[in-house]
Amino acid sequence: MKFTVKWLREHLDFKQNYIELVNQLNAIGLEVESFKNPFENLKGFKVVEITNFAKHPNADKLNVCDVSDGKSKYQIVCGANNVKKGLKTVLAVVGSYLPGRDSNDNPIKINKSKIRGVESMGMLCSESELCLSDESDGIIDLESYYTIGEDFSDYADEEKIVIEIGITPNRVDCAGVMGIARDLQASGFGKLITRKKKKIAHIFEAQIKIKNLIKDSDCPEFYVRQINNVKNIVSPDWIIRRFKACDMKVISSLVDITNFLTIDSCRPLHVFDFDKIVGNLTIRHSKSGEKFLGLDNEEYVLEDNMTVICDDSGIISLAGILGGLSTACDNNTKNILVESAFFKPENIARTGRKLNILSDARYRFERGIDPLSTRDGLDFASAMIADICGGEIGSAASDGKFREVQKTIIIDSTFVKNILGKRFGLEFIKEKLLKIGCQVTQRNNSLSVVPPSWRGDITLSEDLVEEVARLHGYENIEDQPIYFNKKQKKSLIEETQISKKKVCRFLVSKGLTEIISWSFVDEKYEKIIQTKNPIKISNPISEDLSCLRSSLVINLLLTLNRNIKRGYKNLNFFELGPVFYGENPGEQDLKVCGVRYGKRNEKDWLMKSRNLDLYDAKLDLLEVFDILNIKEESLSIDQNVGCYFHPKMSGSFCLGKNKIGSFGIVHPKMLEYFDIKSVVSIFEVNFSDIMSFMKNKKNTLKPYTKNIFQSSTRDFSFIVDKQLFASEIISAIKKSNSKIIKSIRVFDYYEGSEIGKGKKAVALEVLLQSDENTLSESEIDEVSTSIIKNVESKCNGKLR
Amino acid sequence: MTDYDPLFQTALGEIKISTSLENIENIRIKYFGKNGIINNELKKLGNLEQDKKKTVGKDLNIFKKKFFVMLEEKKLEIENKKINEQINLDFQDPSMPARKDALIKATLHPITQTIEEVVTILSSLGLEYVEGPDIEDDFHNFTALNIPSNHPARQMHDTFYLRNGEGIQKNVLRTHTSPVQIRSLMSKDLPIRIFAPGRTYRCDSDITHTPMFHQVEGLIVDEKVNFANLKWFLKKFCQIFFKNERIKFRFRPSFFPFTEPSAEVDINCRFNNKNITIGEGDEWLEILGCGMVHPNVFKACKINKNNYGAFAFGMGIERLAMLKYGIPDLRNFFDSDLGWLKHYGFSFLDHPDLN
Repeated sequence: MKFTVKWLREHLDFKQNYIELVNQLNAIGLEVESFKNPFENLKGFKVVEITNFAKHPNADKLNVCDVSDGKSKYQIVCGANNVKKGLKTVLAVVGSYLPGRDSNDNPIKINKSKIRGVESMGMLCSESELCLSDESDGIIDLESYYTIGEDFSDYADEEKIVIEIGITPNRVDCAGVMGIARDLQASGFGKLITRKKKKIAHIFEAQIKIKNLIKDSDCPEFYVRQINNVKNIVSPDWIIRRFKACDMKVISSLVDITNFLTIDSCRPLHVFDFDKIVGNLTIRHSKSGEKFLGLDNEEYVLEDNMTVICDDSGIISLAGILGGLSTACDNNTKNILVESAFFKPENIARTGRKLNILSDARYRFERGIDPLSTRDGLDFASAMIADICGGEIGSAASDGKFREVQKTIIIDSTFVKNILGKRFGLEFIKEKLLKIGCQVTQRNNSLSVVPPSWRGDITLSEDLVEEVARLHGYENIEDQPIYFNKKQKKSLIEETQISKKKVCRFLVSKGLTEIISWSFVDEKYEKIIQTKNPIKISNPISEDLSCLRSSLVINLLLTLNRNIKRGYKNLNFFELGPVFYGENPGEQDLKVCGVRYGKRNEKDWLMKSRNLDLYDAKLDLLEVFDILNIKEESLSIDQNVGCYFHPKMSGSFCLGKNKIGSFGIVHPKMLEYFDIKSVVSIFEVNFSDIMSFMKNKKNTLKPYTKNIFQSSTRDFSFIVDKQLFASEIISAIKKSNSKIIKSIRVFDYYEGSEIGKGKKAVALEVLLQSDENTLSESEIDEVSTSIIKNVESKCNGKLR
Repeated sequence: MTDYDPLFQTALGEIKISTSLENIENIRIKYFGKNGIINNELKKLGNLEQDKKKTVGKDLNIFKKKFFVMLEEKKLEIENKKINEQINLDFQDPSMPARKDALIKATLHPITQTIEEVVTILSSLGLEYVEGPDIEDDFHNFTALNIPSNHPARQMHDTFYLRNGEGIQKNVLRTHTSPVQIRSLMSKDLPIRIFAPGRTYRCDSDITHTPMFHQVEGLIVDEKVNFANLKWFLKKFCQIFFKNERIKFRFRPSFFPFTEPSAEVDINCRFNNKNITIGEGDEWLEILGCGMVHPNVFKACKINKNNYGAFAFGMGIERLAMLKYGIPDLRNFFDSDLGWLKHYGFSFLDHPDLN
């Protein structure tokens, strides 16, 4: 909310300077979002008088002015059209800087200059040149009370000094300048200036009748007052200047007055053109399907139970939110009806949200204005209208009377101490609460507190504690150390959480750069990867962020695509993050996915250039498994991979029944889709499954035993069907004698006519070692024979 | 002087002028081989009379020692010479590029780094690392946090809604990490001391907002915990995080539906040509929100907190990262530009610590 210092001074008498004011507002929880004082930069600008002037000899539009500051005289060339003898204005002397900047963002210095041959000793300034207004006509024309020779900045016009504060939803009482003044006074800053209540003497009896059908629910109090023969002229100058400073729209005096009171006293009002009202007024709940044409020229279709104000023709106002077009005031408006009411916050909030209407009135009503401000607001507005627009005031008509519910809150010193950690005496607490307008009675060691009508947010003892702390100053509550050294039942960071960190850092060490991408993707991509039920967001920020992602691959391919366009040739990225498989809490998995793009060793003098392949991806994946303490031997492998993998150049690892990771190269169709011209290797790990496995795992190690017996190796080469997995051969070998065979390693691979079509040769090195003795030649031969036999029978393999 | 002297001189002279290991071996055989000259003389010693035997034996043995020392020295000299000659023939240009494979430099995302720093500090202060789901229901994200459906505070959160199978809006993407407070309160026994970093979402996108961002939530429910403790705790956190003990703090009264009293915390800084220096100067920067847990939150979780006090806090991870590492534009965080990631990312060795 924006207001000027002058506006605040109408409600608060204070001596402190602006910095102290800003600090105090912050300290009491009214966060100053901006403070703009255009006079700050005008030190040294002088109040001067034009003592004489003459036409410039060489320029039609320029004048040569004699200017005096009482002591010295200056000759100034000036182009303004309002130059006249005796005009008091502002002089920027030679050497001073204007507050603004030029088009190149450089400071503007006033130099002694010759303008068309005539010397000029400075510049006479307009408001816009001094950044006091956006546009101005001619040089400043100062009023008579300015003293010649004095510093112009000493005459700061506080209507141009603007403060903007952020109002938290609980503090609607400060959504008015008066409330801000009230809160400042409560904190000991300044003295509140109470406006006198306007006594209204009406000169005619209003004829209009009001039927408030919902006075027991959503509209406890409703007042109108008729005023006849008003002139809806342009608002007085002070309103225009004030509104402009605060970025408020100037419309017409009637509308401006209601807007003024909304911001001034947090008292939203409405003015109907009385002559456009048909018959009498009814306040009721709307029915579903009813229509309403707003002041904004929008037609709204209402739902059940929205509060509306109707005349005999239909709905003429959406209560507390938006007036209707049919009864709006215009330049010809003569007779008016001023409305002041109290509407319940919940109803206004619901209606405002459903119809998506933002207005200053809604903002205040839905947060809960002072329910006791209705009658005073009506009278103050009526008097102001009569002052500005003239007219004859009629009697007030109403239906419904708000009955204050006396809610009493009990508080004592101990309660305050328990929450704040600082003990305050009961007297001190009482004094603070009295200051914010509470009624306080002391009973023994506790206080019974009734908060003021404008503080609907105070309902609990805790709320009172905050008031005490706020007015005392959070800064004045001394810090107290706290250490948690009790025994922990379990470690503060779980093993699985540490694993995430390890995997990330490991992948970075392997040359993959981490990205963090949106949890969202475009629905069209979800379709490409054949997601059955894409999880749609009802209100996406844009089409390309319309679904929750079911995989990390899309964003990684998009990342490749973007970076390829930026000219990068080798790209290695990974992301560790959530993917979603349902729209309920917890229906998400944590995955890691990595991609590599670009030729390995391209244009390298040491190594041959080559394309990436699935074995690059397999290495990445197995190394991640290793970090997670998952051994390859404990996994089974198959080719059941996601549709974005090349179906024949990829593989998946399973731990028991769970597929925990896949690797391979990206499907050529996907590459085409994302406009990627060369092979991308990809691996994917389902972290969630692995984590649940890790939780069940024991951390203790078996004792170390050293095998002192000599080991031997034997090499085998088997010819098998091309489609047969090498892992089948390995498991066949292992089964020959799992005790003695310590490891099996594939070291060569061959395809060619020599061994027949559809065949391949796989060469393996087998490490043999006994735990009991050094193996004899015959023992080794026995194992070898068994290996060959097993591979023959289980894999249909032939020793080459 | 003995009769052998000329022989000795000859033998040592031969070693001196030898130029190959083969030479050396021949000299050894000539003098000390099976039928070597000196060896034969040694064999003859037995025939000599006692006195002679002693002096001649001594001479021969001294010579033998000297001979082999010299022989070994010569051998080493010849070997060294040979290696040096070979080395001088070798040459590889050290200015040629190294093998590339091992040298791909990659970086960790600054968000991950910042979260790890926060994890390190908060766990060292005794808080447990917990996590919650990205998709939340109305109860956890709003109602239990004392934000009823028509409360204006909901407008502070531009919420993303999800459609279920029937097209009905039911769940939301969590607008803050605060629902993890509720999940912890409902699943854990008191005392509770947790923090929860993670992704959060709001339907907002401009220069200072992204539809997805990260927060970390903290909740402490313990005996006699109070606002004065909260102040100490958060100052401690910021001092460690920014590695600056002289940071000035400003606790401003504020409003969050789930805390009462509530505060926003500012730290001092200096703006200098778009650069920010934390802990110097007298401008203020908002860094986090906090407060004493609202009684309605306990009520919603059906917890009787008795003697326990409770405070909670929440911070934006991006903001922490931007301030600590001088990253100017929020939107680049999720843009995945390699140049940006290399510039603002971290080496895998940059493990956060408490120094």
